[in-house]
Amino acid sequence: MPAPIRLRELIRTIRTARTQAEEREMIQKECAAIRSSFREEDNTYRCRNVAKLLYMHMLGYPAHFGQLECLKLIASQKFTDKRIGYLGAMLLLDERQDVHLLMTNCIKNDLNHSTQYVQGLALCTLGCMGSSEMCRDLAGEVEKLLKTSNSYLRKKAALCAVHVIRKVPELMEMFLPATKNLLSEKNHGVLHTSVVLLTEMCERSPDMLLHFRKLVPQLVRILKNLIMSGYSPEHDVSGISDPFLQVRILRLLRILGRSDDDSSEAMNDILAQVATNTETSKNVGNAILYETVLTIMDIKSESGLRVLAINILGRFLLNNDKNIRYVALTSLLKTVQTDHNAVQRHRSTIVDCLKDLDVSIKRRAMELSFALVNGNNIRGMMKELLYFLDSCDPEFKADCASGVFLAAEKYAPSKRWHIDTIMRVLTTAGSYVRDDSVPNLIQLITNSVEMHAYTVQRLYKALLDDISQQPLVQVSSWCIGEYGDLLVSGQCEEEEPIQDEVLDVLEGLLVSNLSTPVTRGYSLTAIMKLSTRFSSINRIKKVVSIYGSSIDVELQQRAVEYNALFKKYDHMRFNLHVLYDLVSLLFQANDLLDLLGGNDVVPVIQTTLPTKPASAGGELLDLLGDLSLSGRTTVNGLKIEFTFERANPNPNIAVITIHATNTTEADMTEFVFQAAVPKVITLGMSLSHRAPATPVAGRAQCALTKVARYSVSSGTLVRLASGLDVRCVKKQCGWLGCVSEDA
Amino acid sequence: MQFMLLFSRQGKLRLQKWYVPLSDKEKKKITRELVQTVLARKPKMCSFLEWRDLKVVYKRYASLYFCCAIENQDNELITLEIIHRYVELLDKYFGSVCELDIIFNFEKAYFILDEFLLGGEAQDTSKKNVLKAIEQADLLQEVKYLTDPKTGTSLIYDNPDISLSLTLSLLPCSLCYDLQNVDFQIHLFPGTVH
Repeated sequence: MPAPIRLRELIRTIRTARTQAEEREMIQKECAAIRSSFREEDNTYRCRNVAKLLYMHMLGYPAHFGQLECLKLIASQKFTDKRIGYLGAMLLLDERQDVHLLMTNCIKNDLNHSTQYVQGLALCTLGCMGSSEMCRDLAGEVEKLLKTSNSYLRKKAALCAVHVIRKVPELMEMFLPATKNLLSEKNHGVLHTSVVLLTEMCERSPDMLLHFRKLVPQLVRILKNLIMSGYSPEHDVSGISDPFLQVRILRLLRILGRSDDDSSEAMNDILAQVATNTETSKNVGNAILYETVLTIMDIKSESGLRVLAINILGRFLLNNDKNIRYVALTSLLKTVQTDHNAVQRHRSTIVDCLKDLDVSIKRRAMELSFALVNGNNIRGMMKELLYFLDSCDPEFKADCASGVFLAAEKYAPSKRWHIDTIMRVLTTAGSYVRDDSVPNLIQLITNSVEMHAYTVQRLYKALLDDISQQPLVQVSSWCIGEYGDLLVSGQCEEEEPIQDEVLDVLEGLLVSNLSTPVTRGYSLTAIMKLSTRFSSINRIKKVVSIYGSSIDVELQQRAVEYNALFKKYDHMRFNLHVLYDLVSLLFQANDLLDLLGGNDVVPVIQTTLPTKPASAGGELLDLLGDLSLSGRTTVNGLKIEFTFERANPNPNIAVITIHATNTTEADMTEFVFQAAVPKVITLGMSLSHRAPATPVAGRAQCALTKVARYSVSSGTLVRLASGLDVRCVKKQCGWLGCVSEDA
Repeated sequence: MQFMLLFSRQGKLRLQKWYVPLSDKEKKKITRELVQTVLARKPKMCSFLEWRDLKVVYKRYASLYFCCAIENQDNELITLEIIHRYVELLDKYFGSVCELDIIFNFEKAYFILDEFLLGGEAQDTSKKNVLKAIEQADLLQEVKYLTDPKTGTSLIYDNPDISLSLTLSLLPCSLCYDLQNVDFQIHLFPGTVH
């Protein structure tokens, strides 16, 4: 049989392949040759064949049939064989397969070999891919080598020990005695790997940490020598003596000094020295400074040192090297909570980083900017952030928009500014805004009573420009429906639209391809609401009846019910409009949890209500206005009070108590209470002591208790609407339907 | 460090070193994804990116990307220096290293890496020491049966992968295997007699 082709020859041949298929063919041919060679137990060329196999493995082809051959190579007495064998083991074997255990004995022998390079191979392999079983078996050998005077082996043994400890943490104890003199070594390799080993041990075991704390002075001394010593060609990198060792020592000091005053005190000077003396023109110097800053921020350093650290980061921000800017932003983000004021000083530089070309830097700068926003700088910061929102990549827009909303909510200097900011976000990044923002915004707008006219006018204008951004469209339609009368009444500063124009816009939304079903729902409801505010009722009637046969089930149902309202309950329609999303008890699960956090009843919040005239047909008791969370209303002499509490046995049940008091002299008849809730809530109603049809005598009280169960997924929007004396309750946002007390 | 990958501008893998246990399938998946991500980066971007729960540090040297995945507590800037040190070692060893050197001598690239890093950490911070160790180990390859290299005696040279048999004294020099081809190189130091 001819000698198998050489490795380089094979590589050359495979590289001449012009197509993937050609390459595969060559590989398959060679694999077959190798396989038969393996079968013949050819010792001479085994090394060459395995090397070729490793090359093919790197190209992505299967090479598992070479695993056992690697083991045979490892057992060989030729160094070449061992080298390739161990390489093969590291590339082809993994600890999941039992085959790897066969290596253990070979490694054991090689760890005791007379040639240090063979021992080195064994240590390297064990330290790279040794499984827990192997580590358990061989830890003793590693520990022995850790105590040898041969620095070549000692440094490797230290790193091998690190791996052993990672795999089998219980074995850590056994390496303790060997660590005694590690730091007295002169050899930098041993020093470096020893510090790595000590770091690993201290990170894993608080006892070890305590034990090694006494090494702090020694570490400080070593670091000092490195900095003060003259030029040492062997370890010099751009004028700095052994930066790798310096960084490692700084990291170990960080771990040792954390939450310990004495150690932190002991390292204070050296940290200041490193921070001020390190050359910053090259990356190496900055790497050391970076590690120093991390250490200073983590230990119990004095404030002067901390300010020094933050200033270093501030200088980093101005560095031309984008990598340095990146690590600066990352570190500042970590420290902004604890050293807020110091970081504030660098705010303008941070904001400038929003304009950086690099995506990672932009993201960091954005996160940091939001962390720095406060009551004092909100206007300036928001300007920058909104500009950023305009120009940033889509992947940022959702987070930025949410951040803006949060910041605006916390620090808005005025309601008008707040609404303007929200408008700006909706118009520039409207499609990226999160779904839960829409109800939040609606609530915000509702609460800013004096801004209603301004808001609806601006939203209307925005709608004229662009109907593609759904959250914007939804909020706008809701506002138009709610405050459409303000829109056309002349309360706005600019030229106001006429009713038909407004209806045109809303109808446009219904038919547009850009509108989602949810949006269509909003606009249909808005149109319906306008039937009580506008005079063009016939037009609205027509629109509503058209949608009675819409394909969209949700839309159809609404249209049908609205239609019914026109036909059968026209006399009530005017008062019903307030039910469309009245008495919205908007609470998100966390709010509710806060609300029901204690065992107390939440104090009732008073809200003002617009009064509406009663229609003909008796004392219609509408519950008007938007009551957030709870409320008290008095309409036409009937005082209604809502209170909330958590049911004692079952915390998932909210008990809403409604007290109705007749404050007029006359009797109130036809007292009926109805409520509708979204599907996530189950409503149970119980009337405590009042039959519904009985008139409520003058000045009498009656209490109705409702029990509502709610789901606790956060962000659930719950709307609970109640109405009195109404036969139909209209749907809004998927309500269940009405629960009637009517006998 | 969890792993290091070397790949070309076309996405071809030239070296892969894994310091964490993963199945072949997982390694392939990670390699594919990461290569794609790094190659998509524009030249003006910084050398760090967050990927899964790791930090990835990469640097391009001519046509090769050197890519390391480090843990969150590791120092990115010093990792750049580690990468640079490895490139310097390759450069010293091959003499003005280029991608072809890594392709045709991939096993040597691994040997050098394994002499520099162990378990993902640097073993020696001295360039000189690492290179010396490699050279000594290379010489050992020329020996048929291993005996004590310190005495320099009883070494029998019988390597089927070289067509010339050379009697060498234990002087620092490195040999390429394939002496018949154009990429035949011998690095000599003054005073070598052969």
